[in-house]
Amino acid sequence: MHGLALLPDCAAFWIARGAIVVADVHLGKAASFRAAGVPVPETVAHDLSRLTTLLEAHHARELIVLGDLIHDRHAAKVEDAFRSWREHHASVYVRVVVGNHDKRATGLLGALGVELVSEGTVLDDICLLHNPDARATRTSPASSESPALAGHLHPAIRLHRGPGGCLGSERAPCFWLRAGTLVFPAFGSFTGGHAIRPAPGDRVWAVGEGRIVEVTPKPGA
Amino acid sequence: MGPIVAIVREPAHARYDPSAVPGRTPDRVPRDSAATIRPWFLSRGWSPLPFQIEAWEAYLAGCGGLIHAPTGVGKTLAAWMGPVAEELDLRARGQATTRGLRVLWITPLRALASDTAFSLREPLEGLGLDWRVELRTGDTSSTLKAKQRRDMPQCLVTTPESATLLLTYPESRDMFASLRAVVVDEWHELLGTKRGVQTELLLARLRTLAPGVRTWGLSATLGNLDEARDALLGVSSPAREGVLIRGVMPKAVRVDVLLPDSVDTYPWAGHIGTRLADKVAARLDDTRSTLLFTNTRSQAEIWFRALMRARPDLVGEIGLHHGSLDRDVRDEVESRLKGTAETPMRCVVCTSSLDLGVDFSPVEQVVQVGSPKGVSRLIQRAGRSGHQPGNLSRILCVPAHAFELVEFAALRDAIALGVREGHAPLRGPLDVLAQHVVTIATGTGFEARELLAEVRSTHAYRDLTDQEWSWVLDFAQRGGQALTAYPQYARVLEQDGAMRIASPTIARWHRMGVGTITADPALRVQYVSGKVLGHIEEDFITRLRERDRFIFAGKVLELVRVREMTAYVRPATRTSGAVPRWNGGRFPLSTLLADAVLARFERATLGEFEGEDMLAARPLLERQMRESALPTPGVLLIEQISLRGTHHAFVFLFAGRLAHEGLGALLSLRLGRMGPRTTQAVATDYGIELASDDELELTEDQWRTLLSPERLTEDLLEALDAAQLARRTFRDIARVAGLIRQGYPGERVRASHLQASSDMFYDVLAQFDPECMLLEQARREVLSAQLEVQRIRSALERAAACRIDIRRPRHLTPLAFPLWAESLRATTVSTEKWEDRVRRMAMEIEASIERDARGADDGAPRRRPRKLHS
Repeated sequence: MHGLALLPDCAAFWIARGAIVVADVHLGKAASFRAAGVPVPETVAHDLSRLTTLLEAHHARELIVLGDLIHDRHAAKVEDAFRSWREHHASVYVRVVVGNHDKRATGLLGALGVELVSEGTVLDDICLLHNPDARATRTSPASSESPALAGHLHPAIRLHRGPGGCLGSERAPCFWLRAGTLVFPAFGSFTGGHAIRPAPGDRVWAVGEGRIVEVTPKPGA
Repeated sequence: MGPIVAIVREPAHARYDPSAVPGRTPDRVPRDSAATIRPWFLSRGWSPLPFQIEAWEAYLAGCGGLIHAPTGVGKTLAAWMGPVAEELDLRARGQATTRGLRVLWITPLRALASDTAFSLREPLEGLGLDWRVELRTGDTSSTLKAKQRRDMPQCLVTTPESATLLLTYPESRDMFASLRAVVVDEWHELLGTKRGVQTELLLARLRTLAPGVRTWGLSATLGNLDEARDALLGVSSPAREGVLIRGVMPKAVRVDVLLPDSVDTYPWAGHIGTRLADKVAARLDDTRSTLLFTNTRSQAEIWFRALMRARPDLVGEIGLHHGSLDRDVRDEVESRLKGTAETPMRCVVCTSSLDLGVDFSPVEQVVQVGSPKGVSRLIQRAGRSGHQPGNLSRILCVPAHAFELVEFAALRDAIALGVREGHAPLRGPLDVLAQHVVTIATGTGFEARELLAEVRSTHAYRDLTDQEWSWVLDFAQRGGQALTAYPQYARVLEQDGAMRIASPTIARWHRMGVGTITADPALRVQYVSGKVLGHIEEDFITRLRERDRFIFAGKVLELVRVREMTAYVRPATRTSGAVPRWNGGRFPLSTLLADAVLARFERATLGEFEGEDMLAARPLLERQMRESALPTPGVLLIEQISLRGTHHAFVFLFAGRLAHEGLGALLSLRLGRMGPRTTQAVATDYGIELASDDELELTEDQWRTLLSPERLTEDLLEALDAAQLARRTFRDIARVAGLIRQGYPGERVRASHLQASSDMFYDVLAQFDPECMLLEQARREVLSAQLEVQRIRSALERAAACRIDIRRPRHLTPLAFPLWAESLRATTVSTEKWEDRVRRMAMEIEASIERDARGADDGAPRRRPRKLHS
């Protein structure tokens, strides 16, 4: 995974391409909860501004989303907010791996000048995925051998507090490198995580409080 | 076999004797009730007990009240026969109507409901009253539930949750209009919990729907009975008189102690563990049925295996029962315990899972392994034996640690004094209120001012502020306060002055989430071949690897794989494995018992060792006094010692494990302010250990600064990373307030998803709606419930009034050793390794003490530890 800088805001910077890479933004998820009668504050504007900050801080020319950019296009303001954001960043090339949630929003994304690519697309010898397990079913030799970037799992690692975990544990979103695939934490503010069980040989970086820390479990610990 | 220690204080069973009750003769008992009911008692060869008659009279006079007595002395009949007599009387006068709900019977455990219904039906037949008594719990079929909504039985036995669910139907107004009595069974189990608060709101609602309804509660004897009654009956109004009725014959409790042969033959640290298992196993032959209580599920698993090893001849007749086992497994054990199954159980090893309910009378023998940590719990468990009024309750206490011998002596003292722990009712949790408001909106709908008055009539919300109320309404209507209204959100809408649920879909979702019971995310434990054994905390499983062995449901299992929320296992070929340590379930030592222990210590310092248990503990206590000192009610003992380059301070505050955990963090923080050092704190029920690689040599003045009650809350919040703790508390709050749903329609129910969701909610609210009152509630709950800040405060206030006795013993003392062992446990991963290390350390200390003893001249006084600043 040469030339990929993992950033503490659940994103990575692909240095050679000048691209910000994120996964699972889930714009409109909070709104879809509200529509179901669950009170959740609005987060779309905030998440879009986080993307802006990342792009500007790294003078990025490109944004790669590893799936699930749009959670629910019908949710209030999502379409307007994203259109307006896109207009402000017209010079940025946006590439989205179509995730399970994006399938209902392809029309909107296409109309806003977003390139939609399918899972397994290889870019500079790197395979782009949404669902990391999708690769196992790919037949193209190129996509099965090259390193891959993926999302979908919302990986989180359980960190034990105090010696031996005596103070309980908490979760942190994480990057998870397993079998040549780097799984990204979910980027959206209202996305949550799924606890992972790293296997021997995997590497894990936890993200939290503006920092990123490698927490790969020691063998035999 | 150790000698038996007994205390018998209460008088034996007394029959009702009218002449013995001043001012009351049989004639003054309303003829209508006694005359109709007494024959039924006589037909069974019983006489009504005075407290039962007192309860019927009070009921018939229009009162509500609380009846408190130990298990099995006839509380059920005391509460039930009032409404029955009333009905018989009305029928005799030709005034009775046949349809409609008359009595709502609320029980905290649905497992109890069918037993209760059975005992309620029993007298009806004898009295010729054709009332229907039906159940309505989570197990009731939807067909029967629908039928009940159209045509209520005269008596419905239900849980707080199922009863509250009835309030979500618009018909609730009609369903409850004819209600005469509501009885809350085992009120002490609900008091002090959010379920209790939910019950208070339910009772207030019932009083609105059926203005004449009389509220009765049944409770074990508590230390704060007046408060328990007030919480049950609501804020008193002249129209609502509440009586407090004492079951006149508390069962005599006899506490026997199974003594180790000698505490000297065990490692002097006093850790006894399961070494008494053989003696307990031998006792199984004395009786037909034994119930063996342990304090934790881990201990239950360990003791179950120890007994099976000791008595291979009883395989299949010893059962295991705890809250993580699958319902089917527990049901089988319960039915075999009740004798309804063909092969009865000889012994069931259980946890508090069998503390209440399940009326499997009579268990002949109750065994308590380890200290029960509180007086009430001991009495409750003892009450499991000798179930007829007036029978003696006996409990055999088995120490798991030598100091527990002192706790048993202290328990006898407390029983003799007649003191009990109280359960403080909760005050105003907004998550429960937020749920309730939606419940009522889903049912009849409400007018805001009327509902506020009703809510304020409860004990829990009597001081609810206007600001809190309007926040709760805003939360239901708009998500947040008016200014931060969330777009596209509505749960409750105002229509023509009434608040109603926004849509049938939201109503359906709300019904799925009614209740306040939450559990840690747990994985199902299932054989690869299919059979489900039970559930186990995610935390434990995540630390295991595939092919690791662990003990669960009495079996050694090998983890095959974890998929989704299921841990697949197979029987292991080897016989040992790690025993899971479940979260929670470890009760802290009660203040009452802690005080009684300190009082026993004080008597020991005066050379007084009354009771066989104290005599058995005497060598250990004398060793403690020789090496250091004993803490007493007026003396705070602090031991400072260096071991292998690490400096330790042991502070024996006797405030219970929970409070000590908070205090440990507090002391570490304050130590850090005195100078840079890294400290680790460990807590047990007796005290706190602070350990540091840096110097920990402190003067009395420094200790007084560390233990100052000033700025307690601020320092605690800083010390404990309160935000992190509040986030954990928030999981339950989010669930109760309806942020998290247990299962969306069409969505897989996954606890890990739920956990993540509550974090998501916490983060998103903290960032975008920091004024949300649920966040403030999470912070409050961290302080009051998780850290017992009140207890920490009183421990510090007491310390300030105490003489501080600082000792520097040469070795770990008997009191310090368990703390030191606990700190090892905290830093060691596997259980086996931990025990090895503790055993080795204990042997090393023994050896060094022997060396010291050999070095001393015969007859010369033993070198006393240097005493500092006393």
